[in-house]
Amino acid sequence: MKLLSFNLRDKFGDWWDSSSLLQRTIFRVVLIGIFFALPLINNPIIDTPETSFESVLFYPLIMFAIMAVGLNVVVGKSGILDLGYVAFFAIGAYTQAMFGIYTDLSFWIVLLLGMGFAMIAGVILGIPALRLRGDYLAIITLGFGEIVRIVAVNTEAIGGASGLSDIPPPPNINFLEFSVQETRSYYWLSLVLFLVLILGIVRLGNRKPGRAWEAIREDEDVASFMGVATFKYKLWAFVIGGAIGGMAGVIYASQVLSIQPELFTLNLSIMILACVVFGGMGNIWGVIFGAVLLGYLPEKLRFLSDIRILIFGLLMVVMMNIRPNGLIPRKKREKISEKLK
Amino acid sequence: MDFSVLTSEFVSLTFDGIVVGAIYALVALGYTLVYGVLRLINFAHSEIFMIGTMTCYGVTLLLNIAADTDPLSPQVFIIVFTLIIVTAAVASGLAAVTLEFVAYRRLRVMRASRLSSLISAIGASFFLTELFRLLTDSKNIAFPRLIDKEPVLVISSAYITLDKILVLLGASVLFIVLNRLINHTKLGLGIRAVSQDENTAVLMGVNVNRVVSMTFLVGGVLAGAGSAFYMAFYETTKANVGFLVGVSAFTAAVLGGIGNVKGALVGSFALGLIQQYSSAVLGYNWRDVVTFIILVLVLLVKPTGLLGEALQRARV
Amino acid sequence: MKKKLLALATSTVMMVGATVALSPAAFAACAGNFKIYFQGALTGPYAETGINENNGVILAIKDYNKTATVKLEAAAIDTEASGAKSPALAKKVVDDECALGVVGGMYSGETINAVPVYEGGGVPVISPSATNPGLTNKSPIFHRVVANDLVQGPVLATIAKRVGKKIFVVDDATPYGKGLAKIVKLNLTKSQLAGTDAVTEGTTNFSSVVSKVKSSKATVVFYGGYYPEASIFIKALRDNPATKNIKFVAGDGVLDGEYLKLAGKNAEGSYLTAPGLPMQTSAPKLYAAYKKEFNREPGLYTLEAYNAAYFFTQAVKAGNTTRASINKYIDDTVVKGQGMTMSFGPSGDSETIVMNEYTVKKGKIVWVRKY
Repeated sequence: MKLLSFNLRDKFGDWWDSSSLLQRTIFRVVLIGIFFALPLINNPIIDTPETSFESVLFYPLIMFAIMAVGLNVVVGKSGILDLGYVAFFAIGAYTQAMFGIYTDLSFWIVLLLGMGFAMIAGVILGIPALRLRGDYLAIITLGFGEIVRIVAVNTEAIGGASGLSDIPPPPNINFLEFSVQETRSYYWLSLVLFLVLILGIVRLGNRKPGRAWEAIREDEDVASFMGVATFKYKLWAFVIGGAIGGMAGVIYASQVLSIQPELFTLNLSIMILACVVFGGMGNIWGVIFGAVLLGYLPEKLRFLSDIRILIFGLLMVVMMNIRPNGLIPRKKREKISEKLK
Repeated sequence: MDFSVLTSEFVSLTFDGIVVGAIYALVALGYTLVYGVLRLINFAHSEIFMIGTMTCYGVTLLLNIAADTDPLSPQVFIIVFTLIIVTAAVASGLAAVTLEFVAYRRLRVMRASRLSSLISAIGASFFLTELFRLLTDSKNIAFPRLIDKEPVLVISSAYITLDKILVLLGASVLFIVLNRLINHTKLGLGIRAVSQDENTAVLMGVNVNRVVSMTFLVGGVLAGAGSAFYMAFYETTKANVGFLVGVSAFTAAVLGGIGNVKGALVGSFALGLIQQYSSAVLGYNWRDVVTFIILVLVLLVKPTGLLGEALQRARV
Repeated sequence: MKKKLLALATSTVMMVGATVALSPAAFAACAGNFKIYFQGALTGPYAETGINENNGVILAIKDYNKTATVKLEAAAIDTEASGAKSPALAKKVVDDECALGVVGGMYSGETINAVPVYEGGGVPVISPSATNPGLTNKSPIFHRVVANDLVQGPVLATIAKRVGKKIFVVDDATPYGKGLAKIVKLNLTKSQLAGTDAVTEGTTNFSSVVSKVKSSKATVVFYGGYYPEASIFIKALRDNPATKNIKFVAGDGVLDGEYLKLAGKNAEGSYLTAPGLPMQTSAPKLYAAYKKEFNREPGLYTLEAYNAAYFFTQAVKAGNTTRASINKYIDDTVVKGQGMTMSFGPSGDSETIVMNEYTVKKGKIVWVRKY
């Protein structure tokens, strides 16, 4: 039973609070260094037996991590149940595909465009959907995800069922080459953007938007009553979440070089949601951990072959029952009464 | 956009829509009952339905009915089909109760967030789908034709066949039974009490665990019965049949007002009709897009579905 | 506390450094048997086709090993037919020094996404079932045994026009089905095309499609897709008195024993095309051997997968044990397989594809003519 109540976050949190700035900086540097070094490590313990670890690092690991952070803004921080997150990912990917194949625009501009289109989609979805509550909102977001996919299948102009091929990779940055063989360059690019992203999200979380989101998540009616512009902030959550998903999509399309609508299924939305819930909703480190776990485990468990998906489903049930708040749940705000004691 | 099919085949499309709606209704009722009591979207309910279809097939295997057999005579059919419905209903009901116990009970007792139950539900759904994929060796299952499908009645463009009448009759009977259960029995009272306010229900002496189990049982039984009608109508199943039927049924429940039993029925028929009409006008491949857009429009005007949530629920 | 942290940091750096240093050289020679990999779905919703293809590969390797000096090993990567999963798995195959070739991918999406990876490693690929025309000329290392839509489509259109004046075209929104339907539509005049519709995989409710067919007064229905949906569709057509006698035309995705099993008597009179004969007729000995070995019926593309693997075994038998030499062998050689002769053109497509027309008579698939 003690194992079940072991709380990583608290133990780590205690150490973090008591450490000095130098210790924290060293910790951060070492941690980031390890993540950068991952593609170069060839260690049988962490290696995935049947899949290329380097490829797995890019997809699903860091792609899931980025998307989980994005969905966390929507679901974890703001409490909006989004079952169609894959739509933003798809929009980003198709932007890169269409603009990459048919125009000469630089990769970086297309990246911004992809995020932009995803943000617009977030607004289009958000305006009707966010007026609804809870599970009604969920089904609308699910529908949105499916609509994006079905439109992609039915529209020949953007490839139809066969999708789009010959998407250009990003241009070389100094010595860093982006080829389909060397996924590490994509991984590093994503990692850099990811770190910038985390920085931004954490900053936002500590400021007014973050507090507003938390208020909305805890009790939307009270928040509204207290003067929080709930609709505006919920829409912002959607838009930011969308932008992040779009960013991931652009990078992904530039790596895989061909996309098809069948890559962007409801299943993927559910996987990202599972990462967020598993890891610990609202807690950015938790969801990153959840994404890594859910992306890594199926590859590591390939030796189970036939029953792999079976075990995976079972694990989800067991994990949620043992740790319903996720592996690294968010810090619960201390009750005022406890503080007064 | 081609309205010619809609006009020339209107009666046929309407009738088929109602029949499909009836099947959705039986599954949607399961979603809406569980949601009303637990505020939980039971993602794995679609697999409860799938288990029902597999059970139906299993019964035909046990009875040694070959896949290419001739339709049965009416008397034999009634006996065989009753056996199939009952077995499937029991199997699905038991599966549902087990599902609740294994995947949701602990989370409910611990008052965990709804999202945790949702993920648990999804995990259970993956597990059951994959389990049956392995059991059926990934194959499609062909169900024997038990009832003759020659039209017994023709109204304008619609061909009324016995299996369609069977579906409509069966769904109506089950709905009437369910209505009695909810409104005129002690169990129904318990269900309504728990869905209104769980804490007060406990204070009033309601055994919540038992009510929840029974709710799942009822939902499962309905899905099982629905699966029997599904099999008689479509004559095929496979391990992931639950997904498509489930999404439609769940959409229907939401459309009508999730948590509301009458809403599930209205939503299901509405959805069946929407699907048929939009397929005729825009093509089957745009069907789901139209469905969701209509859902959004409905929810914008009536945020809690066509019939709203059950009277008692003031806030989500 | 400071000491602890320093110790932690140092040990981590050391561990990382050690693993980098100790990692084996990138490309050692193959330490065991050479391998032929199968790429496809071994789990998930598309597993039935994948397992049957993989079994074909396993059987071909097994047969080869009986008389071989240079033994081969059959391996597989399970992509679940997902284009998202195939690149990472393909990279692993490329990194496996023992991997000489790949039979796969099973479906077009996973193949399109994996081919660039294989190309980077020079791994020759022969696909038994990826039909998307986009794969033609995709890469010098890519070849396929299966008929390209551009070959099958016109034949299907010809058959459809022969059996009826107004044709209704339905596809299943997969790259295969939609691709085939597109070519068929291109080969019909405006007056011949009665109408179109598209369903999805897993569709069971065809009533609206049937209503559309009925309303269009078509005399022929063409279905681009696979046998599970086709069998439900044909049943729905035959059950409706208005479309009871409508002619039904479909491609090689439908031509399978399972179609007869699932559609029953309704399959009677269907017009189907395929590049080869079903295994029972064209390679009866192999059919029996397959049933004995795996205790199941061969599947939709088992024969193609077997022959693709067989091609690789012939390459190795001729003394080729490097990826480059095997790829050259594939480009240059004509190989007589089981029930088909294989020869690949510079585009990667098979040059020896001959389309055949079949029909279902008295519950059996019967060959009608060659095109």
